[in-house]
Amino acid sequence: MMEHGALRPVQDGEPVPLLTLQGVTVYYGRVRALQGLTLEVLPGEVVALLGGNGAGKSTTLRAVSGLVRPASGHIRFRGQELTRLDPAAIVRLGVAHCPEGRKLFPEMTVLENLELGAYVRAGRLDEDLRQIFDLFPVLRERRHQLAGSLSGGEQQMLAIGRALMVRPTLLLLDEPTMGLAPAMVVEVARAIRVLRARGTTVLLVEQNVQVALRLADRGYVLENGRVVVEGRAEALARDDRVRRAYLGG
Amino acid sequence: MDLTTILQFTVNGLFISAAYALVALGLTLIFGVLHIADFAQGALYMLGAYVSFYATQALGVSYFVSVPMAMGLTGALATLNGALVYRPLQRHGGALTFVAALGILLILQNVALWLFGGDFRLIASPFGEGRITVGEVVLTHHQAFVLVVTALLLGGVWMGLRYTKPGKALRALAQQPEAARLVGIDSARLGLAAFALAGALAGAAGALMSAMRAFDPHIGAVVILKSFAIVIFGGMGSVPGAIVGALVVGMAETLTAAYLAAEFADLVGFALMIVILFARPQGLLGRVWA
Repeated sequence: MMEHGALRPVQDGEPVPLLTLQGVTVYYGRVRALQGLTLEVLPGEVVALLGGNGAGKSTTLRAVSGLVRPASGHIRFRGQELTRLDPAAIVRLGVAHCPEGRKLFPEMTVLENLELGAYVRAGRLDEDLRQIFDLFPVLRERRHQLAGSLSGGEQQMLAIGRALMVRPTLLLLDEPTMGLAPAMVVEVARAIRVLRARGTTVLLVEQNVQVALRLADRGYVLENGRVVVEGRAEALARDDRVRRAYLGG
Repeated sequence: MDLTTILQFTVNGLFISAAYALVALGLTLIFGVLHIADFAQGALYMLGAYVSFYATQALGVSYFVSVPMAMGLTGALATLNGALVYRPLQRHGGALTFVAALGILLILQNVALWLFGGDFRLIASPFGEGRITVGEVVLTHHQAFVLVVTALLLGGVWMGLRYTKPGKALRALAQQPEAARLVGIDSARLGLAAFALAGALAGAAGALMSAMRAFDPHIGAVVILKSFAIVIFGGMGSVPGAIVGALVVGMAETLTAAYLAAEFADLVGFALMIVILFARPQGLLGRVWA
């Protein structure tokens, strides 16, 4: 049996990926946003997607959560094909997407935004709310305020909190520090470390490469909708191509 | 102008506002959630009136039963429109759904003309000529009934939107559709719920009003034009805007008819709409969501 090990899908001791993207191609009209993108995320990992504007980072997250439908390729979460599922079915599987630009429900309170995060889930929310308020105490104070009245940093915390209401196995985080003051960037980074310590797997899109590589275990550098460099975060931080392109070094 | 006159106009204005508020609320819900200007709601108002008229007249059904019958039928019809006409057209953009809405309005209007004839009708109110007189201010029992039912319907919708799970989902969909999809809200199904609710409200308005005001198959076109002006006036997609707009237009029409001439009453709603839009392009209570 051992000689035929190569025929088994997974070798002993090798972790089974939580998420696999295989040759994923996405079009927006006639523009090809992803060109055969392939990557994987292992359970418990924080994986960063790096790259310039229009490289396909957000599109990758949008394809995973079902907001855009790939023209070809496979996206598998725990072995299940996601490419033909709608966003509601995907979020039910435990994939939460915290979108770029936060996209809160502005005319609803903090509490209502969080409750809607648990839309597909039955049962009591007290424990989830307590955990989120412990993670972001300012949200507890502001729970009856309208989301549209919060500061940028508070809105980002709420957006992450709303995604956490899903109790996600995989959290897709799109540009969580964009436009935030330095103190808020530290705050959001701290929250991502806490989530990671709790075992939440994170696929992170982040334009702040230093922040991203400090948080992530591994990273993929995207250019024109495909992966050009991949590796451990420490290695990427030293990689000349990454440094030249994104770190100004 | 003495107090009695002012109060009498307020009562009459409120009564007219009730019909506008019900239709405008449905329109603004559909617009807020689906971005469709559903002019076919006017035809549903008209059909609501006919359902109640024939149910009471021909079938001997109680008027109080005929109103929910009208609501059920028009709600179902609105849902069918949503599923069979608007949904397939929606991805091609707003202009196409608008033309389709006008098409449905005209088709239903002509079907009604063919089935029911062009005569003016009046539903027999179960309250007859009963009236409440306070000082010299007169309120008919039917007017009072319409005001109470309208208040209950508006209050019910408002509570539902504010406190129930589907209501919150509808608001979420109107405020931020992409995030609504991401938390798992089924926009197609809730869109149909918005149609059903709006259709039922329009049908209720038709059945309620038409015991006081005579109607024919063309009533829907008149009602929808004004209700739509009210929705624009109050702010597209704004629920309080629709209700406040209905009150303003209903009162303004009553006062115009009393002090200028009845012929100008219809003009006043549209004139108000144009004035407001110059000052506040987003409408009276509308917000610009980034």
